[in-house]
Amino acid sequence: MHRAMKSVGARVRSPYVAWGIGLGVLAMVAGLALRATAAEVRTPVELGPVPYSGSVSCRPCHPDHYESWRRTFHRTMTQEASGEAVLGDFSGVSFTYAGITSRFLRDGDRYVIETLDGEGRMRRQEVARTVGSRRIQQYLVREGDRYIRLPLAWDIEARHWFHLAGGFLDPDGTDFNSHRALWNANCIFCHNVKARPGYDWQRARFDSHVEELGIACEACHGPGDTHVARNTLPLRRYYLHYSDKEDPSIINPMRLEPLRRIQVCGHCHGQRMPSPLERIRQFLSEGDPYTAGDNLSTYTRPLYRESHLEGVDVSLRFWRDGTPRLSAYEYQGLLMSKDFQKGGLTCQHCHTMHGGDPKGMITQEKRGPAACQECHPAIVARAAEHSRHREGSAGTDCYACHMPKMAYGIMRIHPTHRIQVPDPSRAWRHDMPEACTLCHTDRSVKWAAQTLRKQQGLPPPEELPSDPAFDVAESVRTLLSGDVVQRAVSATALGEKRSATAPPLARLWAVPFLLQGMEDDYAAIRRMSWLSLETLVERAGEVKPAVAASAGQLPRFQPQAAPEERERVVRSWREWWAALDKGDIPRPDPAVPLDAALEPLPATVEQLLRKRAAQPPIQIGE
Amino acid sequence: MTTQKKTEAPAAEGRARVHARFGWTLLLVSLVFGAVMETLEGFRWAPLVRDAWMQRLWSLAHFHGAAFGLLNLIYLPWADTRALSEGRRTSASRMLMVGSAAMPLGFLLGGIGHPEGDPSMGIFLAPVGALFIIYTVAVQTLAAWRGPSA
Repeated sequence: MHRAMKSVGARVRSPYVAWGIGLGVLAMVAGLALRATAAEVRTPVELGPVPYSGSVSCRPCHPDHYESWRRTFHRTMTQEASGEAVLGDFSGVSFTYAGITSRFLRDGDRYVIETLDGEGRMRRQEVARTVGSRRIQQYLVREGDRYIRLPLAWDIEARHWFHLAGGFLDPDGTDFNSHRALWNANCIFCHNVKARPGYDWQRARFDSHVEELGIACEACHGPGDTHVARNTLPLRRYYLHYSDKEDPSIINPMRLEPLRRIQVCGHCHGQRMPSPLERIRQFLSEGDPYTAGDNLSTYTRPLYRESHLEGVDVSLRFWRDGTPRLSAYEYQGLLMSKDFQKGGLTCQHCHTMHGGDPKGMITQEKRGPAACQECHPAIVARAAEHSRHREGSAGTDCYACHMPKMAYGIMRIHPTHRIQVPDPSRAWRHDMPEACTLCHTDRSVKWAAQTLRKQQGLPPPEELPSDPAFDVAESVRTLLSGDVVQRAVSATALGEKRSATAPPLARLWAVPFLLQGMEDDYAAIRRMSWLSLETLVERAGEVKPAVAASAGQLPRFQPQAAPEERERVVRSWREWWAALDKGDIPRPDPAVPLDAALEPLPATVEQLLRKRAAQPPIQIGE
Repeated sequence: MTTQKKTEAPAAEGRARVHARFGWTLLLVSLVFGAVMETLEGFRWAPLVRDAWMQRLWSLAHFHGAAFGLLNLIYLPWADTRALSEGRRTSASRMLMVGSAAMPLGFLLGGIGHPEGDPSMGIFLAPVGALFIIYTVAVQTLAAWRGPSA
């Protein structure tokens, strides 16, 4: 007995048994800890009341995602006016619009704009914050409890000052201060993280706060305080890394179901109104209640053509078939697309916040057929046969036919996000652009409709417009007689790189019509026409240097210059066109109303100009 | 007694030889690894320089490997200290070698295929290796205070 006892004691003292017991205890503790972690991770977290921790708190654990976000234009959407943030020329330059000359100056570290104040007096106003950093930069000044967006902005790419009437779709003669806007009640919502305007309805005062200036991590991932606190435990982190379980303390949009996922983007890229409308009071005082991952429809509903907003004609923002025609309506476009409705296509299939080109938030690969490949591999594999266009031609580009450029935003025309099958009849049924003639710019929509039917082996269409205007090349017809967004779409299409007509000289026929566009009463149309004209001439110059050389001596066009100055420039370009040797310029389709000297047929131009629709200004949401 | 001396002497000799071989090998491997890594860094080899965690962990692997290689060489005179029993000398020696391999290996593996912001599971070898080395150092520290050395 004694010997047996001694033997057990000796065995326990053996290093192997001691190690075994130690490891066993360790394994048991680890197992229990893992079980507790798994249970905690399974418990949902209500993110609404969670405090925000700021993007800096994300950096230590997500350095790659932090860096990939840092390079985006989302980050720099709203910034304090620092030397790093301000892109405009504040070296004392001046800019005159509608007879009012504004000056842009430095005063030590401060940036100052000398322009009209809200009461119409010339005054020096100090820039407090900047908005935008990609295409244009707008400037905010502080007036008491509020930030005011000035009507003058800096065109980042063209490097000059302009008046926002030329960025929004406003005709000439718009009041200088019509685009002085209250930031606290407008821009604040989408250009920052979790905005709280803090409007006191009794005292009519703002006490505005945002969790972070610009669009940072928590705009899409929700508030991070709980996530940061819980993940200080390495065991939790490793459990999440290796179990592939979802962390309930943060939102990963890629793990949301399609509707919730597109709502994360649609929160800002889909103009909406509070639901019910009376909720606007809550928005202006407490802020937008939406937190990433929520059901957006609980708080707001998207604006559609049929929506009613007091004092605003919402229908102007849509084509007549309901397709959005302004940017910041991409959410609505996707909601209307069968690819979303039936296929669950989301924004994140093509776009990414953490990779690719920050311009467009898209990878180079997804700019091409790879975007459609995942869901339509068979069609992409036989794109030429499917599109009935030559292999490798622009006509085999999925985007060209299914997402044509027809949405206006920030002085550009963007692809529509309502993905549709091309149908030329939309041009006469809904008075809107259609894909075929945006590439075949010298053709009419009648030609497009007939050709499409023929290619499909169907009899000619019975329903064709009786109006002879539809016999004219659609780009010319709409540039001269369309409404302002139609004109913008055409002016851009005429200079677009993607075209059915490859030889640069063969596209020069558009020059006289673009010169007509440069006489439009909307600065935005003048600008787009001028940019297209410049592009056509530059490309033609690559094959015929004499074109570029002679055009290089002509004055440049400023869309917001005084009328007489603009007239002078257009006249000199018209004279250049008249004198240009056009012998080797291929003639376009007869649908283009040009004479033998490639000058517009005055009667047709007059008729089309008479049809031009007058439109009230269109407010762009973005 | 004579018998004991006869068996202890070859064991101690063998231990010193094992530490010498192990120390020099670890030093060689670590220095070559470090030289290659620094060259890649110098030429800004993208897979390495764009991954800050990998760069940091592999630098630690290189540094600890070289340091522990030297530690094994320094350890030679104390490998058969008479202040420790034969059993302790053997365990201290083994722990030092296992720890010297485990810690740099942990850093090396921690830098491979790691999730964002954290080393991969291989990193758990590093603290285990550190414990082993600390064990040897503690045993030798006690021996140094307690009685005669070599």
